[in-house]
Amino acid sequence: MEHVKYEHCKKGSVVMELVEITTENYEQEVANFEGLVLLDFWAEWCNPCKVLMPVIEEVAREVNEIKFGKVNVDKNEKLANQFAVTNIPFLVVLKNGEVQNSSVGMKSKQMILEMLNV
Amino acid sequence: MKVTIVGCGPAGVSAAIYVRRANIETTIIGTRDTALATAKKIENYYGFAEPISGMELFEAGLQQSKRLGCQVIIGEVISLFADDKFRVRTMDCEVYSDAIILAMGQQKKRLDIAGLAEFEGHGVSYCAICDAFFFRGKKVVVIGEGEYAIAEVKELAEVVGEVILLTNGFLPTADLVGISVITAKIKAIVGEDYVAGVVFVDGKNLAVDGVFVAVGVASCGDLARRLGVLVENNKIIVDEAGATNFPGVFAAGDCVNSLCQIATAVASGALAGISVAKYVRSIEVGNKNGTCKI
Repeated sequence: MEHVKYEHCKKGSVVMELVEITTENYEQEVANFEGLVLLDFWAEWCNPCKVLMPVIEEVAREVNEIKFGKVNVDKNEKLANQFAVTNIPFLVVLKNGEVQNSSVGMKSKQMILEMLNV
Repeated sequence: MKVTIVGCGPAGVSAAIYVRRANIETTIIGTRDTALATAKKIENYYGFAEPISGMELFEAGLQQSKRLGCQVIIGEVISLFADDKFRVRTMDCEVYSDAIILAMGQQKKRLDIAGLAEFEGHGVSYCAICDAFFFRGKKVVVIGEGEYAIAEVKELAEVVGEVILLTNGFLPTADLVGISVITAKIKAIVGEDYVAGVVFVDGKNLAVDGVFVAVGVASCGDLARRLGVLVENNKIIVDEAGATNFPGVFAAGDCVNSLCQIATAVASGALAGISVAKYVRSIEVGNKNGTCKI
């Protein structure tokens, strides 16, 4: 998958970096993507977002056929407004660019897998 | 190292006893408004030849914890933060610690207002500090009547355009100086895809962009969600050691157990107390060795 990259952290475990989705690359990376995409709307000041992100990274390491992206709401207000985000962490699953389902708040790995139906 | 226990019912006090006896600085913060204190006669708890009232047992627990050296703060916890340390905030003080145990009892029944559940995530929020950002310059309301609601109003006032407190027919129990208040009973939260307004039982309407819920006192679930602790069906999810998914946050008692009994609360409090003591010791060792847990 060319849209993800791996980075080795100090302890030697593998960290998955989610695709940084912005207002500018949304069309190319998400709207025109054929297949499933999970977007994580987050912000630096959001504690639950910081707890959720590694869980999503863990899922992303295990599920290869899905694109995983993150949207910083501070930097991409237009995109946050497009999805009418009023609570974060906000997860949304899209298939061929169409919204399939969404959720608000902290989620376990199992809950995320259920959202993705995998 | 320090541990703060939020809640001074049987689970919180039981946890505190184990933490303190592990020679760790221990603070208990909570109100006397516990399920235990309302029980008139307790006959199903070990060790009492004659029934004991819930209030007597509650006070005895507090005395026991104080005798062992726990600091007890009677006050309502209105917020919780996790930075370098955990910070537990009441209206009057802020307590710092290396780990916390949430033991504030069962989550009270959620508000039964039409539209509230439907619009959750679409303009209805349960955390001002988490979601105020999305209502910058907009008009929002906070449903609630006590100190917790006032704290949420103050948090929002820094960010939003206008904030009004809706007491939903209840008399305010906190100082409301400088706060716009409507006391009418609420009938429904309305809108199409997103919150657009509040309709009152008297037929009046109020156009708003967002609704924040902060009724009564902050529950374990309310505080847990702020940190990113997993909550399901109003119960905090813990492992067999009483640990949540958030490092350093443990939980015990009715906010965890499905069987809401004094005996089970005491048991899970003891377990969380032992676990949190092990946890802070592991941090202490990590710090001395110059390593950190990831």
